[in-house]
Order: sequence, then structure tokens, then C-alpha cells
Amino acid sequence: MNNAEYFTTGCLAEYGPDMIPDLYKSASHLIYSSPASLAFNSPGASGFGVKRAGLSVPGSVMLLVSPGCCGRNTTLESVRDGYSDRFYFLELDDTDIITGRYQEKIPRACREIAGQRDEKPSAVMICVTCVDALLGTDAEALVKESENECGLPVAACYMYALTRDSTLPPMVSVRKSVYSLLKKKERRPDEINILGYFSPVDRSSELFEILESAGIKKIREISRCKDISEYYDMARANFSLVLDSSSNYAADDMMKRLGIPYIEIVRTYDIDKIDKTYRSLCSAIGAKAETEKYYSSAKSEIEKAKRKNPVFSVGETLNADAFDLTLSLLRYGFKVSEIFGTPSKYNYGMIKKIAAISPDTKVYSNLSPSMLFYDENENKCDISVGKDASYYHSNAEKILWADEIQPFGFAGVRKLFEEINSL
Amino acid sequence: MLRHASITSIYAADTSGVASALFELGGLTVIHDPSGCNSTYTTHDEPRWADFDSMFYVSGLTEKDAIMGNDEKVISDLAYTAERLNPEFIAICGSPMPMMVGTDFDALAYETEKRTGIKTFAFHTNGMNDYISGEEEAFYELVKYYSIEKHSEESGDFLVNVIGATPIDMTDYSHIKSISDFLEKHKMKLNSCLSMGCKIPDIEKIPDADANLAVSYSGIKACEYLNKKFGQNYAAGLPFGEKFSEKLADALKSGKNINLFNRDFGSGFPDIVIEGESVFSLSLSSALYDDFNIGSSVICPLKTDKNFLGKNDFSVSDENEEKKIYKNFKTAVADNLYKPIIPKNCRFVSLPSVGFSGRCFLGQIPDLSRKSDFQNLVKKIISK
Repeated sequence: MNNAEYFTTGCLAEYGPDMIPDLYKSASHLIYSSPASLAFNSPGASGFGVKRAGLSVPGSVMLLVSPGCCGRNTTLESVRDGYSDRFYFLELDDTDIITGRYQEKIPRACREIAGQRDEKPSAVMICVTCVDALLGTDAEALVKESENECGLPVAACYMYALTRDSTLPPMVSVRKSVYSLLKKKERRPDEINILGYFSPVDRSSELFEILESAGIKKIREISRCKDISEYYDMARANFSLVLDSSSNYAADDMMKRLGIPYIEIVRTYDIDKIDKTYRSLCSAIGAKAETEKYYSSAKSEIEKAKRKNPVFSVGETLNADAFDLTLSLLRYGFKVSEIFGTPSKYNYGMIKKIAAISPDTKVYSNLSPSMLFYDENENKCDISVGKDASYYHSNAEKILWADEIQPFGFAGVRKLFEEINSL
Repeated sequence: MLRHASITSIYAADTSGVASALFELGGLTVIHDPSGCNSTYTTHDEPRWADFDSMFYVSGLTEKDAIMGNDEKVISDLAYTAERLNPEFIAICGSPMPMMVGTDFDALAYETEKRTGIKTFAFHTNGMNDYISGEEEAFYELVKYYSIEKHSEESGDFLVNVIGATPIDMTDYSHIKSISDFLEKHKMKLNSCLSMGCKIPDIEKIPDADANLAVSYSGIKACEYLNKKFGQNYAAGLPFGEKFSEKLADALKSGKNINLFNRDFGSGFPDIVIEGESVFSLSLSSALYDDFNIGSSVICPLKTDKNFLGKNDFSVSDENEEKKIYKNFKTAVADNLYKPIIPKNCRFVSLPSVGFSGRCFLGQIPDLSRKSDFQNLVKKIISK
């Protein structure tokens, strides 16, 4: 192994979803710890992890119950990002873990936190880690006891890195946790929720205009809720719009508990797909599908970019799905020499379509130990898109495309190509 | 013991200490963990991480493997990767999960070494001790394995090894350069620095030196081993200030192990306190007294030898203890992240360290082995 290992999309298409190579399975090999694999190793270090996501509930504070190594990055990130006054730590040592004695302290810690602050928090989020996963801690029982003790709403967030390859990985389960405090309310026909991200969707997206054209007067996102009362009003939604499939579990829970149904429309950078999706959405909610001007505006930027005819390298640490973005770029007529991504049965349909257009596009895994030997001169790359791709290509033009504000729809495509055209 | 922190940070863990000590040596280091412990180290405790490659991995322990005790998977993954990367050595260190399931790291290392033929170290970390523990074990094991015999003929130079150096305490190579300059000023020469700017051959030549300088507490165990095996004396300390630096130089040349941390400042209780790693803080405290006749207490929240501490010093493990101690002082010299627990009537002087605040204040960490930086700090400490 003195080359970075990869498979081409052509090869992957031949293997099929039932024979995904071990290269792409994190449980099949050691995991390389590089800046490009940071999103896997610690989502919080480059955006939202369980801890920061748990604090999406406005006015909430978090009690992190963990060994020291789990909490350290939280303090340091929170100092940088300005939410250091919302974290509390109950640090465990080996005796605590073996005896379980720390669990008795949690409700009392919640009471102390509630009493200590000048302004009472709206909720206490108790974040538990792999330690509690392995101990089989009944976090819900701790939550109930803590609520009784401190008189505030309490919810559990599970930072269970052990379960990252399961059907309920941490970033899916925390989405359920942050909405778990909502209580049933009388629903309003002209209010909806947008679920999917912990940071706001770009308001310049035509999605909002389309929704408003259907008579929707209030569109709530947890990241835009100014206070806890606005958060609680999310329970009034007529329906939820799910923009990222990681939120489906939370949306299912809201449907069961609060009776709020949901529609899933997943982000894509293919303008024809966006158009079709909007037409379906408009037909479902009675909106007007007047999207031609947005379509044209995005298309115009794409055409400008084609004049330079760059070759792209696409990463997976960005505001896009690596395979969707690659397929979109290929369909627009661009070349993509490589993808840093994780093939799975969920994106195999796209891999097959990519293979039909560009069977030689290489697919690397950021987690592979062989990435130590990645040589940027192996593959042509004029523009790298994504934090990981940009890490590998020091000589190429870079578009990180990883801002906190989430691009969506035609506006997202237009902005991406505006950035490409500005290089 | 339960430690809580409502405001302050937590020191880098033992896993970070091991990883940092081994970073430059060409070995394959694996943290046996689901994920998370490795990224805390790489993003906060390792300033070198983005600048050059290191064979640093996480085992990716899954729930099923943890419960079923699938050690074979770790060994196979290690063997597969090591056979292809051909590292100088393999190092496996633990995190809370393997500790909980009673993973036998010595057995893992034995099996891996048998399979690969590559020297494999087991480090008994668990993510719940501080980085000094991890570094200490790493330095000790490295000298035990690689520092086997003297090589060279007497060179005429008085050679000194620096033991216990990682960016967690030393921040960057310029600090090592300052120590090298200190040695040269006192007609000594840097032989090897364990382990910044260091490769395996540099560890192999450690026995060729005349003395060892432990620049953090983590280097002392290795120094004691070298003292027993090769008769090399050692001194613990950093060359801060003029007079303390002279004492340190004399101690190195003395041929004896000398504890330079005289904690007797006469009667009365100091009104300055310094918090941080023990060798660093005690060196600063000693330098303040030797050069300026200013007494100070030290709070050490990390592993240390209680014999280093005097009656006015404190070994602590909890934020509440620290808060109570600070009430007794008028000036506190500590990392910026301690500021919220410093009482209003106690003047705060910033002295960040990677071990506590990571890279948050990297640009503000002074090199106190340099005269100008030391004098600037002293000015801040004594100004009213």
C-alpha cells in the first residue's frame, strides 16, 4: 500500500450495492485521522455535532456527562463559537463508571444548574456518551428524575459514537432529541416547519416564495426560533418539510406524538430534478409552480462556468451530497476526476448513473488508511469542491461550500456556480 | 473522584499525551475507540496535525465489537495496515470504551507484534487521566526500547537530552530552539530532544549524553530510568530568568539529581499564584523568586510529584477546589480559560497553554525561555 486506494464508478456499478468494497466500510479497517476525515471523527469540530446540535433548543443549557476526553473539544469549540456559558460538565473517572455512582448526581446537577443562572434556562439537555451506551443506562429514567428535581424540561442527547454505523446513528437520534420537548398544540393550516439542518436555510432560496404562494404565513426552523416560546409553536405546524433524510426519524416521531405529517424533498444540485420536485410539492400543497425565472438564472450561471471547462474534484464535507453533486456536474457537461465519498445502498442509484457518463471517475474514501499516500498530482483537478477535497488539492482553486447557512434549490445551484465563476 | 467543571475547560487527556509524544517518530499510532478521542487530540492538542502527515488512526470500535469482545478485528486491521505502511513501530492506546470492557492491551500488542514482526507498544490510557500520564508512559517505553547502549566516543561536548517535550507543553519548535540556545550559552549541547524534532535514531543516541533535562513532569520517569541504566543525572526545569537558568545549568553539569524547586519563600503567604503543569509552573515560580525576590504559590491540576510542591502549593482535581484557592490570592497567572473562576478582586495575568485551551490562544503563548518574553510576563505580574 503506497498509493491511495480507490475504485472507479464503473467498477462500483458492476459490483452493485450488495458488494460494496470494504474500503468504504468504516468498520472494516482502521480509520485515518486527517483533516479530511474530521466530519466522521468529530462532526462537532467542523460544524454541528451532537453537543452543539443539542443546544439548538433556544435558551437551553447542556450537562455533558462523560470522561474528560469527550468534553474537552466542546469547551474549546464553544469558546470560539460563543456558547461557552451554556455547557456544564460532569467529568467521570473509572471508579464512577464501574460503580455507576455518578448517575445519582445527575438530577442534583440539573437542579444546581437551574438555580445557578441569573436567567433560568428553558431546558436542560443531558448529553450522555458511549460510556452510557455500553452500561445500558436508562437515560429516560434519568431525564424524568432530573425534571422532577429541577422543575425544567429535560431531554437526553445520545453522543453514542459506538452506534454510528447502526440504523440510529448519533446525528439522527439528536434530531429526535431536539424536537422531543414539543408538546401537542392546536395546529394552524398556514404554519409549517422546515426540518433537516441545525443552521438556517438560505432565505434567498425560492423555496420560501413557493411556500408563501401556497398561503403559508409562518415557516419555522429551529435555528431561527428566537426563544423557547417560538420553539414550542413548532407544534402548531400543519406539516413539516424535511430537507435532509437524517431528520426523517424526528419527523416520524413528531407525526406520532403531535400528529404533524411531513413531506420529504431532498437537496439536489440538478436543476431539472429541482424543477420536478417543486412541481410535485406545489401540486401537493396547492402552490403556484412559477419557477422558470429561478431555473433560467441558475442555468445561466452554469453556462458561464462551462466556458472555462474546469475539471472538478468533489468531496463529502460540504453542503451537498457528493454523488448528487457529481452527477449534476456531469449532466451539465463538466468532468469530475474524483469523488471523496462513501458509497452505500442509498446512493448506489446515483453511482450507476455517474458510471454511465463517467466510468473512470475515481471514488476515494477519506477514512482509508491508504489516504496517507494520496498524491494530488495523480488526478487532474482545476476546482476542488468541499473541505476535504480542498485539503487534498493545495494547487487547485478551492470552493469549500461549507458555510453554516444552508443553500437550497435553484438559489443554491446559482450561488455555487456564481462562486465557481468568480474564481 | 467526581470532578465537575461548570465553566473551565479540561486538560488534554492521556490519549493525547501518547499521540503527541509519538507523532513525529514514524510509528503507526492507533487509538482503540469508536471515534471522537482521536479528533479531540488532532483538532485541539496537536498544532502539527495540519502541517505534516502522521500515521494516526482510530480503530473504529463498534457497539457489537465492544460487547462481543472482538479483539481479533483490531489485531487484523492493525496487521493489515502495518504490513502495508511499514511503520517504525505500532502503538495502541486505549480510551474509555476498551477500559470498560477490560481490553487487555498488552495481549493485543503481543499478538500484533507476533503477526507483523513490528515492535508494538501498548499504552494503558483510558481517556480519563491527564496528558502527563500518557506522555510519561510513552517517553518511558521509548527510552526503554530504543535507548539501549552508548554509541559514540566522547565528543568533548557536554551533551544534554531534553526529555518530555511535546507541543502540548512546548507549543512549537521555537521553544526547543530557545532551550538549545540556553544549553549552548552554558557550554552544553543538545544531543536529542524527546520528542520534538526527533526520529528513532535520535532516541537511540540518548545514552550518549551526559545529562538529561526534564522539561515537563512527563519526562521524569524516563530520566530516572536513564539515571539507573546509564548513570545520567537529570534536572527538572525550564530555563526561565537569569538566576534560575544558571542554577539549572549548574545542576545539569553537577552529575547529581538535584531538585531545584525550593518552595521556601520565607515567612508569610505569597499573594501570587501560578496554575499549570508542575515543572513549568514551578520553574516560573522559582525564576520569579530567584530573579526578583517575588514569592508565588503553584496550583497543579495535573499528575506530579508531591515532593516538588511546598506547603503553599496545591495539587487539585476539581474546579470547586480551584475557586476556593484563588480567593486567597491577589494575582493569578493562568490560562485564559481559568479567567471565569478568578475572583474579581484577584488580578488575572494571561498565560495560555495548549494543554488546557488547545489552539484557542496559540498566538498568545510566550516563550519564557526567551529573555524578552519572560520579562514581559514579569512586568504584567508585578504591575499594579
